[in-house]
Amino acid sequence: MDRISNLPDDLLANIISSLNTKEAVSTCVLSKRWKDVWLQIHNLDFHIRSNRHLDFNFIHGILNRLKSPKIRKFRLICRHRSRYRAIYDILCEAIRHKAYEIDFNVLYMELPSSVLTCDNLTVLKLTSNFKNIMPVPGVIHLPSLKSLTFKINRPPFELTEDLFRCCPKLEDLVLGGTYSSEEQIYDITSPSLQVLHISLSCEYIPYMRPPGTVLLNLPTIKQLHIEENSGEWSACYVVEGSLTPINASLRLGSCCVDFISEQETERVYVLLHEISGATSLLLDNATTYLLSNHYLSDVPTLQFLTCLEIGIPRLCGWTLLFSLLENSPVLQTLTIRKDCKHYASYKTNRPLKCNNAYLKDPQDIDWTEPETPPSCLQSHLEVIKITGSFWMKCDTKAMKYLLGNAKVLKDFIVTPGGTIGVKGEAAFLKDLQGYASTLPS
Amino acid sequence: MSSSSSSKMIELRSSDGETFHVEETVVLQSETIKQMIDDDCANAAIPLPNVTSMTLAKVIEYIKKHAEKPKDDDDKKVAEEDLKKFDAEFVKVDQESMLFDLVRAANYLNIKSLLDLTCQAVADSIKDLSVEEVRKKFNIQNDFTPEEEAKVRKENAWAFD
Repeated sequence: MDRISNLPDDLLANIISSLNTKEAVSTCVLSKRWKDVWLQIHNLDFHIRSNRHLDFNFIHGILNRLKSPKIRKFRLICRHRSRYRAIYDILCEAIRHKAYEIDFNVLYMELPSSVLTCDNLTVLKLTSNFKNIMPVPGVIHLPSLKSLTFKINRPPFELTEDLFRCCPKLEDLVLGGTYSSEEQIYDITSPSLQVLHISLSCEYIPYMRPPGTVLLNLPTIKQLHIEENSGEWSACYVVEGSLTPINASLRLGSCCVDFISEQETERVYVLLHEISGATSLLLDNATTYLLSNHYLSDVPTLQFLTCLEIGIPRLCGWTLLFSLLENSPVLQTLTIRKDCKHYASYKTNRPLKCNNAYLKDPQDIDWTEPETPPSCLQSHLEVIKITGSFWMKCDTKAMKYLLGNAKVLKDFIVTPGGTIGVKGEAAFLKDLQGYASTLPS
Repeated sequence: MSSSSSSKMIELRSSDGETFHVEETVVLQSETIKQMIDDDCANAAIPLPNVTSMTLAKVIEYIKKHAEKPKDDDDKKVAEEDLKKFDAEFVKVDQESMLFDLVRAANYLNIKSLLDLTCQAVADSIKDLSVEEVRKKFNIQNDFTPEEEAKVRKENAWAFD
């Protein structure tokens, strides 16, 4: 017999369990040896495209025929509009088969309450519009859950307020989706959480009123990443206790705004203060824009920061960057990303689409050389990386100063940023190399 | 390379009689060998009648690499990347039969991460191929009569439409 067919059943089943279920089942016609091998698969993975006639009976059929009553992973991706009741039934089946990893990405979801009280579930990924929970659970209890992806549009209050607190072993949380009321509270109180990604959006924000609230009580958090997808102020973040993330990133707001309220910039400063113990920090160009529209004296001391990545939008950002450098005594690696597809014009505060036709190079920028260089430049900063496009002459001044004063620089790395750029950009970037005072040319 | 001379060495003997000396801390990744050591059966060379010297050498290369410990958190990130690259290279073997031997060995020695890695590698080589292509790739003889094959297809029609 050939080498692969010679492997014992359980190993063959192990191998084809990594395939999607359709491929796994189709191995039954390879030869007689393979006819019943698929009955021992322990992962199920179904992808159903929107244009297919939908008959979920085959999933039940497969579940009934499987030899092992237990399955490990159960994934269903279904782009089909209707039949959320059928998906509800399949979710119930997945729980009944003791799946410990469930990943459902469907258009509409009716959530069986058994999912929320499942003892052995360790990974749960739900991406869907919310329909209903049936029946409404008395208690939520997920004692084994370690990783949760919750991208549910319009979730009910009882879920966002209680769910995360009811997972005592949760380590990894991805929170996304939209919500519709400013009264919504996402209570992320977790004594075990280590990694958190948030990218929420609020569907409807009443004029001049803050959106819903995300409560963060995370004593063991190591990585915190907050993102606002729609480029709008999408939630208020309230921190209880202290946050001590090692890695943090903020991608907040949009630089394409006419009017920035003080409230809005203040909340970014509040967050920055909360994560100021991080050793690695990323601020995207929209966040830089928000932070730049405020008193820079509010920039916190970033005592442990060794690695900073910052997006510099057009016409602002350098002053903020130097303020951050002043406050980062042990910074070793600095990455500067020019990436402004949108930017606000300096004088009128009106957003402009970034089109090469508009890109007149302003000779002046609101940045003046500091009297003394930030201390990290003298003692710690070893690597400067620059990337992205739309480098202009007005950025030269700041870059030259940075390179000229970095006394312990070991590496200056230029990564070209895509195809679009300003005329002469390549030459300018090449030119910069010469200004690094400590590097051999 | 870590070279802590204090660690106890374990002797393994392959099916073709070759012996390998591996640090105990490294070899404990194999649940099967761990059990033998726990049961105090590891005073002499441990015989592995199901694993050839060629396969065993590969397995030892894998567990040695996976036993390296990063010093700090920064190192950890680099080490993780490094390990991913190593794994990707590791399963690029010249002969497919070597991959199947590794699947068997990982199963016998009960090294879960290696079993997952090698099974995934085989699955990746099957993925997106038609039934006929899989048969050809692995030299699988189709011993169904046309009628039998039609019947099996019909039973699992969903997988073939």
